[in-house]
Amino acid sequence: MSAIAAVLIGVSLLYISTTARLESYIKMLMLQGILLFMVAAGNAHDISFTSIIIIGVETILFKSIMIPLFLLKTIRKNQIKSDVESYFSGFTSLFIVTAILTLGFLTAYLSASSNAVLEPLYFGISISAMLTGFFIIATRKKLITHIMGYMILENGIFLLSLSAAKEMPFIVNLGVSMDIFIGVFLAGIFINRIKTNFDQHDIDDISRLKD
Amino acid sequence: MYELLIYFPLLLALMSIVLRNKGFSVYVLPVWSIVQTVIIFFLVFSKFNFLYHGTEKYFAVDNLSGLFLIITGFLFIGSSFHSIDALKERNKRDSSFYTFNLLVFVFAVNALLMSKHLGLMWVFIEATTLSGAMLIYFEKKHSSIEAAWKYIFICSIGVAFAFIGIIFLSAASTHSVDLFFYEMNHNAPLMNKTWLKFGYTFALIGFGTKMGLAPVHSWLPDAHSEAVWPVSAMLSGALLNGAFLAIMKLTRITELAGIRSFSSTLLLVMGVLSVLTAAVFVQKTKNYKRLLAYSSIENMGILSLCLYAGGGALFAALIHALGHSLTKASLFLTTGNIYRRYHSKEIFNVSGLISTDRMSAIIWIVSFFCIIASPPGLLFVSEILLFKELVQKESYGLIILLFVLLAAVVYGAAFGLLKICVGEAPLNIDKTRFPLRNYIPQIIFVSAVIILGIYMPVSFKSFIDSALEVITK
Repeated sequence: MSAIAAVLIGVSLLYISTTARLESYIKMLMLQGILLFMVAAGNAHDISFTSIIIIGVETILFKSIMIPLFLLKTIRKNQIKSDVESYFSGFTSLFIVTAILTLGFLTAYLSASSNAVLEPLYFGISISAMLTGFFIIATRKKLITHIMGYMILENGIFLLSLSAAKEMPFIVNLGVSMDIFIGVFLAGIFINRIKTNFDQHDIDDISRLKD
Repeated sequence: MYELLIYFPLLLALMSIVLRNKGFSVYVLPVWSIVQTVIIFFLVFSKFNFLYHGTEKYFAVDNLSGLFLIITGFLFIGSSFHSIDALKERNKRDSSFYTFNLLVFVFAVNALLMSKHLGLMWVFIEATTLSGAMLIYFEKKHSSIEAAWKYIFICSIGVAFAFIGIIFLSAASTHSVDLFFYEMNHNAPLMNKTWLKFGYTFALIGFGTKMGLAPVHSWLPDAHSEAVWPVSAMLSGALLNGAFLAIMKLTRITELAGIRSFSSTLLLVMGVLSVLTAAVFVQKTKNYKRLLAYSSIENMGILSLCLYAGGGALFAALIHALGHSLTKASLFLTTGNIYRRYHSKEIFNVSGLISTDRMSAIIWIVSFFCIIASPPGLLFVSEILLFKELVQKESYGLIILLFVLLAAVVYGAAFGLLKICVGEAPLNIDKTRFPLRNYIPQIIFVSAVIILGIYMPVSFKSFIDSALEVITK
């Protein structure tokens, strides 16, 4: 069950790479949150009520409901066109993300043969997700897609922490989720501000400060 | 008692946002900053039994974190007195917003310095990013929003790297080990070397982003130049040290695990790159606050090199961190006095500071000589100690390279920073004197740096030595 969910996260990365609409990105982020819940719940060391609640807050509430809805609101409010605007075509992106997935599995395969501290399947997919996050940040033009890339990166890190056998104390986990959530929230506010305060046509112009 | 340093700033922050009273927002900062510093002194130096520390699960004050807490405490006093003037013409909404974020920032820095758990330290380092971003955004100009965006985005990705590193570190420990520093130190020899190397590399890149080490420094000049001056001082003096503390503790783990040569190489590369970046950009920049920011990058590079050299240079690292924080805070706080007279951050729009504001000019020039590590400042002592250690290691190539790069930094900084003091002042400059609170913090900081540079009391030395024991014994 958990394994299927993890593989589906990998598939969602492929879909993200090809789609050209911001709404699809948001749907995929929602989906990834739910899938992460399934992976985490399937792996929890003790299925106690509190641990399920904490995992649920981290994944379902933050990653799958609040952040995507907030991003959607930011898009509507700033009338951001739903076109993703990439430097690469859909096909090239798909090709590159496929290569990233291959690389992820290769790394997982190699690491599994050397020692078995990390669960290979999750490890491979988490590496792919992190690299895809970077790829999205580097090759998409809009600021809002940078936030989405950051979320994909964070989802990858979440999966990575699941692949390591040891768990963090829940206070740390909760702190991490809070930080990420507030971070995305503030980044969204800055996007709003650029639009409302300066009536900018191009809210993605952030290259004035330099030497 | 350490709980006061965590809960009280938060409580006061909430009060300032709930009350929305301008008087409260403005004056709570200096009052709390002084109380906080007194508490810190009690925590670090008192031998009373009822002040237990080191027994709590997640937080503790040892002498190393104590040193950084003291630095933070003093800087916070300075910047909160300057905040009174920074908030003078703001409405109550802005003031409470500012106070809220500054107190949350101080809370996060305090908590990160006292964290015994690596994961928790990460949480608070990211919390400084968030509150810091709001403080940089405070002026609400296009440039400050841009700087805040870059700061939050680059630092968040940076510390995401650090988190990957933390996960690898937990994968490296073969036994069931939590990420408490003492447990990791204890189990370091048993750790899996490959994963530890991966973990350290990622964590160094991540915390290095926060510390301002090249090549991941790009947020720093923007953030430092766009923030209001008391905030710039806090960012440069308190925040960068916090990230340095994390890196020191992680380097200690690699040392115990027997891969110190690996971590040293990385520190060497990042240190030299930082000094090099500063040496190049100091020549180019035309904004005096950005120039100070590049000087911070240079000094962070030197800290990283001290950590690379190890041995006696670790003592140098701690006094360099102290000296840099105080001197840089003095410079950044003085930029406030300059900016309010000239309304410009461009070097070419500011001239004749000696005739318009003699006191600021004197502070500025003296601090300048301290920051370029000329005698008799504390930074001179620390850099001599670093070079001494490098001579002992017989790395003469590095010494020559450092001399050249530091000379270039001094040349560029002197050209920019001293130029604004001399020459004809523009005619329309207001020459009325500011209240004394705009000068006294800097005077105290710089005098401390000079006095410690000339004569270092035995008790101070032994305190630094005891702080070093945390990462050497």
